[in-house]
Amino acid sequence: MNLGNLNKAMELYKNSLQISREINWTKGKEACYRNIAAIYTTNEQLDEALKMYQKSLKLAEESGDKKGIASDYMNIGVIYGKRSLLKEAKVQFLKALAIYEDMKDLEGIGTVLGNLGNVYLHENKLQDAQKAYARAVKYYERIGHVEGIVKQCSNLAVIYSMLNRRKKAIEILEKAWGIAEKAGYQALVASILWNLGSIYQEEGRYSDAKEYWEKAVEIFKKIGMPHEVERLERLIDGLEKA
Amino acid sequence: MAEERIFVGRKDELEQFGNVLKNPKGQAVLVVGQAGMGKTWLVNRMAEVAENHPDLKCGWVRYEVTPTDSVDSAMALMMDNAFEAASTEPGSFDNVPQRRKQWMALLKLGKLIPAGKIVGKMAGEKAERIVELWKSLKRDPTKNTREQFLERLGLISKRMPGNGRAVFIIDPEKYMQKDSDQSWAIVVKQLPEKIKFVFAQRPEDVLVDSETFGALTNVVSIPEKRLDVLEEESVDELLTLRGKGIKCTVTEVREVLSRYEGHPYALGAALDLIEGGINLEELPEKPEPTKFAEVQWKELSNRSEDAIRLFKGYAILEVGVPNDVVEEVSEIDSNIRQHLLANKYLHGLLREEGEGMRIYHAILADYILGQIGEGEKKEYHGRAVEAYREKLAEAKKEQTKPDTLAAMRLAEHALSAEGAEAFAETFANDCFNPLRTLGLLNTAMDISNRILDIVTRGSMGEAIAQGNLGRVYESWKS
Repeated sequence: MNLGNLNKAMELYKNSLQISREINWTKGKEACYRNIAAIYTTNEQLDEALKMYQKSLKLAEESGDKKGIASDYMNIGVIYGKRSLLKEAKVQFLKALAIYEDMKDLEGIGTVLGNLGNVYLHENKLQDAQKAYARAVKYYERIGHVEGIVKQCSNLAVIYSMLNRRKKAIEILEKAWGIAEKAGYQALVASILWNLGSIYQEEGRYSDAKEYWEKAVEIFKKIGMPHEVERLERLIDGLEKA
Repeated sequence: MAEERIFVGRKDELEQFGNVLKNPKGQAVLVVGQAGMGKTWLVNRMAEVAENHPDLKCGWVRYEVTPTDSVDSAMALMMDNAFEAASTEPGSFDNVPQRRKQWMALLKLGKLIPAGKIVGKMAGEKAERIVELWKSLKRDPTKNTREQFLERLGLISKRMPGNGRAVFIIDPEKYMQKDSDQSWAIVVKQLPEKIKFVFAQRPEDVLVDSETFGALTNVVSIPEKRLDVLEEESVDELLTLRGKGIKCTVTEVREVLSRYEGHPYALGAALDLIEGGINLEELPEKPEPTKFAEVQWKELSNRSEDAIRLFKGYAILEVGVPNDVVEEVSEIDSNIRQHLLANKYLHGLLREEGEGMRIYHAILADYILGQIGEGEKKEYHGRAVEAYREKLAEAKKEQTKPDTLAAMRLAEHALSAEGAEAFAETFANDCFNPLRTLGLLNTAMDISNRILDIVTRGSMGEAIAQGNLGRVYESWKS
């Protein structure tokens, strides 16, 4: 992520917030707090992000903006998750899920289920995580949300891999690969190749692992994601030394 | 439709263009002429010359740009169309069939898609290589548009045979965006071999007196100065070709046409009107385009109230629109529209563009707009808002790809219907997310900046516009 653009975005959100405050426009303030919070989260400034989400949540509750409330609960849950406060994160996710279900917001439900799956994974409750990810995939499939399908399939594959069901994991990743390829999501393709490589590594198929990781490196280089390139190159190095 | 209009004259200009085509150097052609002087006719004919060239293999695509389209938006649209043309299953590019055809021909020429096959349907190792190549056409909305566009041009150029040429025609709707000459100059300066750009320009448009553009050594003006009237010989040729459908004697018509001193718009409009059954004495005395538009409108208005409403709808919508949109805006049902357009004269006042039909010339479209009262205009724009909003809402509900035209045009109509604050609010509520989904961040940025220019300082509109711009920057990776 280019920090220059994020700084510019932050500057514009702050300008917008200032005007919204001056004219006492609640909906505007609510949106600005949420947008600013998202940037703080990206920058890992979690205290600031939490404060902003709490502000947007308060305004959303006052105006009865259900979608806003659900989104804030979910994002607050993400922050708790980043701090490993899993119990608190789960509470927030379940609150968000209840609202999204009530609104029949399929994308919202899919996103929360994916986040819940992450919590279960960290709690080592693999069966629960598997169920949550699988449900998330189904919701995303209903609305044709490619990015959601691919991300949750990748998560599912991680679980299958951890359960030593590598064949199933590979099958799911290959399905996700096809979807991401067709839609032209190169970053997603690269991360699937990364995951496939990791499974082959676990199986001791080092040359296959290397091949997939190298393909992923090539894509990450092409689309300008240097951190991922660096991490993968370290993995490839490790393979070669082993 | 313009495509069916008969073209005469301009032999010297076409010959000059033929010479430009022969030269493999990357070049831009500038066609400068007053409104109604036949620029669009000429550039369309240039496309035909390229397509039918005996020694060269040429592909071409044609785009109209409006004064609100930035260079980046136009290039982003071209790249998206190219990717879609190369990748889609049959049927998903139905909205713009003629553009798909143009791109497919050009991409086949550049061996970016195999002749006669759809990439998605192919299998095997060779197909994998082609799929890989096709994917390299996909635009990344988070990266610099101009650089990506130049990369695509380089790719097309590299893969084309030595006698291959790709012609890009940029025909503005009246004018290009103010100050866009700098950006076009940067692109033209770096045009790869075998790539030709053709720009149609009114004398007061941005490229004509631009110092930056004028300093480029790979720009050729055709003709050297401005497009002039047609020669007598060409007028005779036109009369011979179109005389069959006319009930008056050739002598009578020739005498009338002589008043118009070879002005292309006047000649074309006069012949259309004569074919439509107008009395010769009702034709304007002089070749003034506005006088012709006045008579064209009068003749159209004599048909029916429905015809008036339909053409007012087309004028308000400005760009090429699908039938369902114009029907909703004009409050005309499909059967009546089809019945009206079955009439040759009325149909001849329209042409295909982008996703549908539009009034064939800006001169007539402007005249019709002038005939609509302010209150009525707002009503038409209001219905356009509803029509486009409905399309976007449906896509959101069904979770399908948003309609590009609706995402780009809705806010413009909200501005005309309800003013600056509605422009800002409609853009934020209805258009921003669809544009972001479509990867049209440049368009989102252009509109946000325009909103900032016109809303009151310290107003809700300004707050919305600043917030939207922030979301554009947040989406942009580099």
